[in-house]
Amino acid sequence: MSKRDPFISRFSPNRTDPEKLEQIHVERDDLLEDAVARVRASILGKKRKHLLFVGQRGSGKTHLLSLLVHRLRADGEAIDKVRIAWLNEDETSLSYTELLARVYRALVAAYPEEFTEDALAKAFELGVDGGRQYLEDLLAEQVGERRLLVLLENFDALLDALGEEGQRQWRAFLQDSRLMVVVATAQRMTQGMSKVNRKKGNPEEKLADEEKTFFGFFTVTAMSPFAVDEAAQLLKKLARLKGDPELVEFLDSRRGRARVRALRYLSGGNPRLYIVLSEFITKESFDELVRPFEEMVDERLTPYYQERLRWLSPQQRRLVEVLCQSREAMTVGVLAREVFAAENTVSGQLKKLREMGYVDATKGGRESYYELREPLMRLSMQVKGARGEEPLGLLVDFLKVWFEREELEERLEGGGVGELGRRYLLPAVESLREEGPVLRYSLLRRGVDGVDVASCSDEERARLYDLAEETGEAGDLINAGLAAGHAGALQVADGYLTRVVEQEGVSAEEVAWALFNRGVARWRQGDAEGEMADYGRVVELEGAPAEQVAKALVNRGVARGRQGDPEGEMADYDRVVELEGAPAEQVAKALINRGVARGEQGDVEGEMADYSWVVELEGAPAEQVAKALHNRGVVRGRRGDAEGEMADYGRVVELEGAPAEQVAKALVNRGVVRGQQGDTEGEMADYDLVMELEGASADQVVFALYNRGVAREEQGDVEGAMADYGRVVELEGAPVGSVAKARGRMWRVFRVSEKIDEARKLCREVLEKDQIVPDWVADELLTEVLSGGQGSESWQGKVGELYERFAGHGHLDKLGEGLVRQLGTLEEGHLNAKGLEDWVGVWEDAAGDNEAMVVGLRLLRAGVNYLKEGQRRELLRLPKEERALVMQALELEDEG
Amino acid sequence: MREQKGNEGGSGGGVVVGRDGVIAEIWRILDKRSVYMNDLRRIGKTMILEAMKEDPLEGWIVIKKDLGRCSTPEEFAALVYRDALAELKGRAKLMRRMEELIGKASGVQIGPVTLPDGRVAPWKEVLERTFADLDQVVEKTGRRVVFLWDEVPFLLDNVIKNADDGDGQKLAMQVLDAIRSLRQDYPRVKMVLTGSIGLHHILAQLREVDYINSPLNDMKPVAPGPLAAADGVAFAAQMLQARGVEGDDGCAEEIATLVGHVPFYIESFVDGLRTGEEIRREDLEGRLAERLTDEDDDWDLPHYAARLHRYFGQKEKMALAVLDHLAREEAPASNGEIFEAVKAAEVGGDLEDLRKLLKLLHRDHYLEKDRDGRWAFRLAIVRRWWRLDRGL
Repeated sequence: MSKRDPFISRFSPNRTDPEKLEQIHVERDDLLEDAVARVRASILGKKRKHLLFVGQRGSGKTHLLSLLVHRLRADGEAIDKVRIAWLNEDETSLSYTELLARVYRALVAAYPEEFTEDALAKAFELGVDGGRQYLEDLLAEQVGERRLLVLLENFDALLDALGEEGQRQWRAFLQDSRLMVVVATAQRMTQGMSKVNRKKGNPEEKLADEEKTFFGFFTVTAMSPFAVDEAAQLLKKLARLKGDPELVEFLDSRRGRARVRALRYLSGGNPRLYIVLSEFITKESFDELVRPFEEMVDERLTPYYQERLRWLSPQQRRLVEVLCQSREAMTVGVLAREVFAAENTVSGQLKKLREMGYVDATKGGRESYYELREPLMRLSMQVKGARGEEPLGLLVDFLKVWFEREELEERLEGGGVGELGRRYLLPAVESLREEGPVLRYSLLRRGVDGVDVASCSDEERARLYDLAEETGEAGDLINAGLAAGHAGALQVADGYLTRVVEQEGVSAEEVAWALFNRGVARWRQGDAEGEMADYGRVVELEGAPAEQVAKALVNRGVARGRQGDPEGEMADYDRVVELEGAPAEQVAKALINRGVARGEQGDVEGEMADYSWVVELEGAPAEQVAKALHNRGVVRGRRGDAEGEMADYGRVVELEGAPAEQVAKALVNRGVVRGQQGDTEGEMADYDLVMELEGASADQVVFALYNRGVAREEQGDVEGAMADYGRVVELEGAPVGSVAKARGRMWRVFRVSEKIDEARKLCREVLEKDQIVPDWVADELLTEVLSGGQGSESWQGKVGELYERFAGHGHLDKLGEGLVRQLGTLEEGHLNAKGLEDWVGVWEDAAGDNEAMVVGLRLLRAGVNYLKEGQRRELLRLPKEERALVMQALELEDEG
Repeated sequence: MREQKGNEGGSGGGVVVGRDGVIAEIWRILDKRSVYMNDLRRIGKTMILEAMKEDPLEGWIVIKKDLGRCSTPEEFAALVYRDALAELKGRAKLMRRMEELIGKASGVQIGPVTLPDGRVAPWKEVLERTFADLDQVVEKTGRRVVFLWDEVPFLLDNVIKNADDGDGQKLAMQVLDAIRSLRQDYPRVKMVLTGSIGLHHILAQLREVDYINSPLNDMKPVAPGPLAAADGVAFAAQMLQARGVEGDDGCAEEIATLVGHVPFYIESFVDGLRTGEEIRREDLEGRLAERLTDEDDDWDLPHYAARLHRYFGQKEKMALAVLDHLAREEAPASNGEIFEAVKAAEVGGDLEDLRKLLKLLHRDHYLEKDRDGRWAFRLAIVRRWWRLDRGL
């Protein structure tokens, strides 16, 4: 193959111009840079790091080694301090001595002026033990102070061949000489990579012997298959290299990306396969490529995979064969049927095959789906199955996935396609003519069939976009639009849905879906007019299903209400109620919304009637019925009908299928009414039920706890009350307002029971932990300072501490307000003029010109001046609003 | 030239972090006795030998070798002789007793040591004479000699497997006895023996064929253990910097703590991070769990479970119950507490059986014992893996 296309050798990147390799190199997690840095450090520093790259055939291992060497050669500092021996990957070594000889031979080839065949020849005269020692000494002497970088591939096979003895000898040399740095590649992170005592000829076998000669010796890096982005990057680089800007442009488009994604499934992300297949994209001369491709499969891949199959037990081999014949991933059950075996047996064998790197498993619901890890294996198995003149399925599939029918027809008709090419092009064209690009679509649908658009992952969303781009089918466009909308990508959603709306031949149902959801997307973008227009179009759309029309009307009604058009709003709800075929859910929603609107218009009877209608409506979902009952209960309560109110809440509680949140609300409300009716026991029982209710929101639990606390307090059960308030404070997700209220109740209890220290401790805790700092916190803490002594000296430290405490939690404004409120206490005559002056002075010193305290201090100063002088003019210097605050604190009447 | 990211210099330029104390201790012991260094794999035993070789104590000649390369006693003896000869370069005349045996050494010595008539020299004789000569070197030069022999168990295993049928174990016993005799006859020449697997496993194998000697009991056992916490953190910080990984202040500490301050795991964990990556302390535990549950990872922690059967035979279930209990418990547990757990697991055995088993688990470095006689996993990372693997 390389004769015809010398440009990029698929199997021997080390024989390809490294500059070209650089140009098509795809960075994967800085793999190459990392490897270069590590090897360089081993060459220039004292410590050596041996590297091992593990990946399937064609995963880019040799490519990586080639670039590693290329970059080292360009590194003037490192290259002088190293000799590089790159071992021929097709050779093996049966002993460690032979390995050393291969290393030396590689050096002779790379540095003929330093290393000679003559020197090597002597090793063969000394036999295996003598030769080993001779070569170790020779290498040590000739490489000298430099490092010897040994690059070798098929490391796993080499270790098998070396056996335990050879491995230990090699390890000893690596440890003692500090000369050699190894960069190796292997196809598997085998259990036996470094394990001794393995059965010869069966390198896949897992044995229990844990003592591995090379355990922990290598820094191991897995070469994972290309992701879609990486594959696209590679294909673009290849296209650039071949001077094909149109292809680069296509690959940058969404459709191009979709093709790459479809190809990902065919290629298994194998970089070599991408390179091979890319040639069929860019080359006009199809025949020239087909023969080398078949040769590659026949001569390189098939023998390799046949050898690998030989390592397997008959049952494992059969399972792999079945998977080779299937394009789809298969479940254990299906596989078991195919091979007439018990599921648990097959499951056990699949587990082993997975561990050995033959198959991959993907979870799908309860089942695991198995498929071949290496698509090249399927390709080679087809050859093994006496292919004859049959074309290779993978290549035909590739043509069907990548090209449009017209493109292939053009090639066929354009002439220049020989017999060989026609063998591939014809079946591809025929298949596309008969069934269209179903293979491409089915590959793209993998993993997103039935995906929940509301909760899909970023990756799934990207697949949905690709699928929509590729198929352009309304269903796929709607899914992409919905997924985008749920992810907040509203403009993207708008784009996909608009394509459905504007597409010809789309069913009215799909257009209605698209319009409705685009309306929602437009509302979320703040485009109320666009929103209402879309709903309007659904309403007018001929053939639109009643459900879509009803949904559009409900939403338009809501939108009109928001726009201050209650008449239009109610008219829409009326239309839903009257609409033939409208689902009960939409009717119920319309009735509830109309009820609320009527209530707001003062039409309480109408409101009640609508709620009652929902309650009686056949087929209305429990959620809507619960809402209607709840709302009706509230209205009845407002009208003084406590019995009716409680009855409605009671029905919610009993309603089968009612959402927990609605039940919790009803229970809280019923508890309140029962309390008001003097039925404290019933009240508390309702709150207890809320707390036991699974799925009740934190809000409702907090209400129940708080209310129960108040009820208990009223019953004299202060301890129980405090426990409830405490739970409110501790509850995760409790609304901050409720926490503040509960704290307030606790503070009051402490105050009433004269537990002043506890009250003040609570205040400090509020300051430290809570978002809301109520007025009583500052009042309490200021009282503490004031009551703790008199005069500047006594106050200074405490004031400073209090200031820091409020400042530390960003609540200085609250402290300022507290100082103003405190004026009333000062007025009561505890302080004389000096005391008043000291008080304000201490605060001015502590707070200085802190912005958050400026107003508070100014008002405090004015208030103190008033108290000292008794003259209102002191207050008249303040602006009116500020003056009002001081007067309120001093309880002064406005004389104005 | 392509610009490289800033991790030149690798990982510390061969400096062994946090081992100064152990190394000083070994030198101190060597003044009087030889040392048998035994601990878990990858705890850093070879690094300690390398540091001793790199920077020997004044007045010592250090000869370090990995004996895994030797398959026969003859190879071993030849290696010892050649190492001695190489170390005394320019002063070969000091090897008088060996010269009497084989004639004057010249040029590169290849293959087994041979007598003037071409026959292979008896290996015990070679060892004995080499040590006698080295003893004289000590006498004449005032410089002491220490052999740092790594992978001694591999040597013995090779000898067992390479000999003719049935002779291997006897030969291995002879090698062990010979090494012990050399220590006793030439106490001025010292040894540090170590290896990836415990020598006691080879001894146990030999005991089955009636080996009754105690070839190690004149040596001082040393178990280096994990790094001290502060050294582990410093090492992790050094690794992160060398790798060019940015992280919060506590990242080095978190990494070192999570992997139990074992330098190999610290280095390997950091190696698994990407150059230039930014890490957060709170993510590290998850990252470690990913590695511990990755079937393809090369840390090979499953061997702690896999080898139980081979090490403990019928007591395997009891060992599992003990390890499960200690993996669950945050605090170390007493014999009594562990016994309760073993009873609850219904795996049989009385308290005496348990005591014996705990000693074996201690010897194989699964467990460590605190001053109050309570047991815990020796390595935090093994406990962590155990919990994940066993679903505890």
